[in-house]
Amino acid sequence: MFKKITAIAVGLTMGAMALVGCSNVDTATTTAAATDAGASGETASAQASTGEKYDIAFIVKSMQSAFFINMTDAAEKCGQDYADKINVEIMAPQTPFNIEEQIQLVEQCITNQVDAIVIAPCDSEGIVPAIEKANDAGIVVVTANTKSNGGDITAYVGVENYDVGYSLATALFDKLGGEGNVILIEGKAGNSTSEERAEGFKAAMENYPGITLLSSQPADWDRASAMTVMENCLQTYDDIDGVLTLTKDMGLGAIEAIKAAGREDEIVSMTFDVDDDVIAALEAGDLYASGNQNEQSQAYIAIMTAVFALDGYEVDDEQILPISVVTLEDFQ
Amino acid sequence: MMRDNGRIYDFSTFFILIAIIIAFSIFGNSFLKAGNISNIINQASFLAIIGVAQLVVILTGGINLSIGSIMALSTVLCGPMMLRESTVPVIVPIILTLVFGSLVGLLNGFMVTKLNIPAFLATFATMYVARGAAWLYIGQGVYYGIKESIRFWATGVLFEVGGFRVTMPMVVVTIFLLIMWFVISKTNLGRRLYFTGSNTTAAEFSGVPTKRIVVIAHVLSGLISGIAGIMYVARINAADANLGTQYHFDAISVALIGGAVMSGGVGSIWGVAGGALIIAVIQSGMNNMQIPSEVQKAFLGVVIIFAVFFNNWFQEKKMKVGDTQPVKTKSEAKA
Amino acid sequence: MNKASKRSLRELVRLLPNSTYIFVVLFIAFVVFIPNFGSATNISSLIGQAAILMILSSAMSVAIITGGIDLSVGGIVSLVGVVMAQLVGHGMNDVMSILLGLAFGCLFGLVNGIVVVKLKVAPFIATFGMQGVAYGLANTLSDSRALYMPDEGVPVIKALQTNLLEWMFPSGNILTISVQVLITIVSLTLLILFFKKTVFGTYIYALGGNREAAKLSNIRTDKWNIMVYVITGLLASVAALLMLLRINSAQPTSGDGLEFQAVVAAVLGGNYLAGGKGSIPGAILGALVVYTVRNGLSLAGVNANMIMVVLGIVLVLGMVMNEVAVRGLSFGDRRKK
Repeated sequence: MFKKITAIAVGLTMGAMALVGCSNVDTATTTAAATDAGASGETASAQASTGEKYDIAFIVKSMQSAFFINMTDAAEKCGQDYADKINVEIMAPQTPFNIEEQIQLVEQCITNQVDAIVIAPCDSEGIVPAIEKANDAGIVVVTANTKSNGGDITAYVGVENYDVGYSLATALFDKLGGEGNVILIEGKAGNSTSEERAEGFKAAMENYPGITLLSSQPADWDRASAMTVMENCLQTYDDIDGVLTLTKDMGLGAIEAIKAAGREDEIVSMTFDVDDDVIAALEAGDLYASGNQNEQSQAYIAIMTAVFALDGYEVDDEQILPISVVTLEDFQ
Repeated sequence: MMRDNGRIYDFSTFFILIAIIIAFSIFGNSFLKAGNISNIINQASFLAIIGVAQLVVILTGGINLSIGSIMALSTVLCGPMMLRESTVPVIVPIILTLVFGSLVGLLNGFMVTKLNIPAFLATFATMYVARGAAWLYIGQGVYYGIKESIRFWATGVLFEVGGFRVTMPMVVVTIFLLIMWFVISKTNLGRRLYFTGSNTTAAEFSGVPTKRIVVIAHVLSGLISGIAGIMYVARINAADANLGTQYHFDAISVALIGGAVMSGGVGSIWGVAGGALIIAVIQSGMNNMQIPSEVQKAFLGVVIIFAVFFNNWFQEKKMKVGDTQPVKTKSEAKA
Repeated sequence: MNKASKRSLRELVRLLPNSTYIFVVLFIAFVVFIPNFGSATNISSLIGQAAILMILSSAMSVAIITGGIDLSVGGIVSLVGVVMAQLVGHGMNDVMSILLGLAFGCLFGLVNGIVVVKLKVAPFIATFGMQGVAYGLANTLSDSRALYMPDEGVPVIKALQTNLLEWMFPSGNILTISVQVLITIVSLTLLILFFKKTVFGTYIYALGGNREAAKLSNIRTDKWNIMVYVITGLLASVAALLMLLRINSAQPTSGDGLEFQAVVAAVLGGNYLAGGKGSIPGAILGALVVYTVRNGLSLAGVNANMIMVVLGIVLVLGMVMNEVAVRGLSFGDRRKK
């Protein structure tokens, strides 16, 4: 009997663990319940759909990426700015960029009967069945940053990833004077964002017959992997004129490899996305230029679009934000 | 007996290494250039550290899936102190990183010995907990811009001879391997590590405190993960909670190619060094031949199987000639 | 309570897999504390989410009971998914594509078995290496790109993605049983029946318990050992099919890391890595525990990084609980000095 009792005791500890998890939530998410001090005894989070407030789930691709944390910060801010109207809950798959886990999150939103889902899909095609389920449950779906190839999407807010690749490549090739050997470091193999940007890059190459693509390899959106890929390229090719990495984490990794090889003067580096580290690299002259897609605005506008749609207003179903190629001059 | 096995494994690892190098120098044109060899050895240095972190646990018959997570957590915790603008003396974050790494290792050891949780599950749990904790701590972004005095250890170039660059990682790792070789092959602790792994019951009967040895192995593994963490952070110039998400794979590959046997008791430091070199050679050689990185992983898989098969075959052959004792090969027992 | 019923109760408790306790305790705690967790809608999605891991962990437990392990299941999930999608993409009939995909998985398992049994490479190493091979093949065959299902011409795949049954509760909750869940239930039932009703089960335990004795009692150990890896290959291919249906595409990375999760779920379910002990239902419950924690905490809105931490701790506590349930609080006694 004693064994069973101890087993139950351990079990209760586990239950308590779960509660620790839960109580942690309430401080972490931006439920307006926190400001609503009078709500005594009311269980927070999910139940808040009573009244006028909209429950909006904001799902990103990873909580382990500075880029998406910028987006969630903006989403959180939006939740605070309109605390009397919306309730924003932030979610992300545990395994970064895992489409299967992201589908699980959408299913959970359906269970929680949220009013709208704002999502940056890990894969444009893979997310479709989940979005169709959400549509069936009458939930408004807005995509931000990355499109969905199907389902009933109220609006898309973001850039065209194809254009990202195209405009960055064009800027790089112009800088090189239309002549030279370039390297492209892609994101995760099979990831649609990475593929679309790479397609844009290759399309731009057609306008520049003097450009040769030496190598195009994936580095999993990861700094250390990009560094290894770049080191190997530096070793293999004696004549490299330009490098484009499809996000800044990889960009900063590639720069380290180039600097370690002492070839920063002969290679023009470009990347995508802007933050303090990128500005520092621009200032140091390690980076020639980067692309800015303003992910914070994407998140904020996407949530507001969902709110407008819920209020019954007509919203534009494609809200393409401009991409700007920024160089050091833009920050001086 | 154990010592002999170790030698056979070392030998066959280097045999495979040489075979691969010959193959690549035939097919790839610039493969044997001094600059390229220097690059390969430099990359292998980093792999060797995580390989040793895995080896010390495998020797006792365990496994450590949390190496990459320990690297991330221990360095992220000390990240702010490693930044250029920090005024804290360099030695403080370095010591603290090693302490944090050892503490996580201690936790692993505690779970394995006191709570009787298999190392596979215990370290898997740590992999999750440490990675999650690293992200919760760092919250956002990375600590970018590491002090030059730390970066020097992983990026410094000492001198260049005919295109061959002698880098700091090579020196650091050579010294590290020598120390570890001494600890594992020449000290009482090392002998006990092997003994515990090859036959726990017998070791216990001859007075070896096997549980304590297992705990020490995990602490050592955590400590070495901390060293690896510092080296990688210095290399990529940033402390990042994403560091080493796949390094448990790399660490296992290095140790296995280096002749370690999952059930414990077999493996050596020089085998690991050879394993690290083999992986670096394969990566570089196949890049040279324009073979995509995914195919490299497949090739590596075949090499792992082949290396072990070759080791077994070699050992059986040797036993038929000399040893009359019917010793069952360790790998046959089960992983 | 009289003596007889007490004994039969004890007998029943003994028969239950260890992971039952963790599962029951967690489940009840979550139903009580997390709103919507116990709703029909959520239970339906929880089962759908856990399906892939349930199949993989039960496959893993078959390998583990023999004292082996199959670390290539994650690779097979990616590879077989890519194979099926490529066949469909090249205009093959979808039923044939699925069947060929399953056959390919068996073939891959057969290679695993041969490497383990004939080349005498330890299972951990053999399947770890084959995992790399599967990963490389999956990426090569797909050119490292996601392969999408065509919208037309795949009636069977479309049919497999539908729901078998939907039951609307007055509260607005919907209990759905999808074809995918049905596939899972059928596969697992067949596996358990095969295990219990044929000599397979007995032989498997014999292989893990004492291989020499098994050999002496005229069990063709080599044949059965290879068979084990063919079965894990087949089950991993079924998981690949489920993944394909779920994410409506095949991705060369879809199986990454699943092998470790499968081992963890199996061990949590009371399978011993040393072999000879363990059960398939235990492994299934182990997988359910993992997904109950994930689903519950995520439903409660816990930060994804916090879930990782809590999941790790629950795994450890779960193992402690297994130990306690089996042996009582005797950690101290078993320490030898």
